[in-house]
Amino acid sequence: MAGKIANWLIDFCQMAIDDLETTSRLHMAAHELVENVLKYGSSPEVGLEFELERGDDNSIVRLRTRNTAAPEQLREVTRRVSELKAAPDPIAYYDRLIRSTAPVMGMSGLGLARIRAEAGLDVDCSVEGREVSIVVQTTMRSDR
Amino acid sequence: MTATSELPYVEEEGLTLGPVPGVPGRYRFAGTGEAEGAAVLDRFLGQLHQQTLSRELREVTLELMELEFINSSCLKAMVAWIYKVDTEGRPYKIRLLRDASLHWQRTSIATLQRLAPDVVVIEDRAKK
Repeated sequence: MAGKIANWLIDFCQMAIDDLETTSRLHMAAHELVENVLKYGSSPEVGLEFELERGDDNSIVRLRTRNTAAPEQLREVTRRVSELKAAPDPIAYYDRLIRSTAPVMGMSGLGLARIRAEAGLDVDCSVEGREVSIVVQTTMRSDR
Repeated sequence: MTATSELPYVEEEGLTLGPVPGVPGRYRFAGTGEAEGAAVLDRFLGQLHQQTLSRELREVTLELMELEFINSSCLKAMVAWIYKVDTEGRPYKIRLLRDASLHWQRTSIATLQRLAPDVVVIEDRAKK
């Protein structure tokens, strides 16, 4: 299910971006974000947006998900994103997270850190009421 | 399953996992691994580990070139297996054959090697 939605989103992205490397990175992010929405979303109303902000030299590509979630999930995602943003070296943070969760059975909790470390995208989130919005983005050279 | 019989070929939840016929300790993974596939992969890797120990093999090889994508739940299953091998005496090495033209294989397989550099060996292969 998450894969189908992520693939559909990336097909759409490819109509606007002619950069295989960037779309591959977005593909990974889309998989992880959609999976999170399906896993933690508490209602059927969800949002999934792709945005391309064109500049003369560089453009910003952005994926955003919106969903409602239980209060403890909202606190958890806020904590994780804050930690991730504060980490001076995203790969070192990701490696530590992997090592610390490796012996723990169950959920991975690696998705957002993977987006930051492996896909090289900036990750941010905001919470309003019971709704969380997660934004991942990167800058790419504009097509001439 | 006995120590001498091959692991069963698995085609479940978008993943295809199985032994390469006639080559002990060599396995081929294909398809896409999403959240539902994590338990399938976890179970397969558990059986693979037991069989490798029973056969006293010094190395296993995974052909990953036809693995289109795995999400972090499936990556976690591989992490757990590699961590187990690394922290329980390193009884065998794990050779991962990847298609480096795929962005996710370049980054995620490198992540697995950083977890256990004395256990994981990476080889770049082109998809057939």
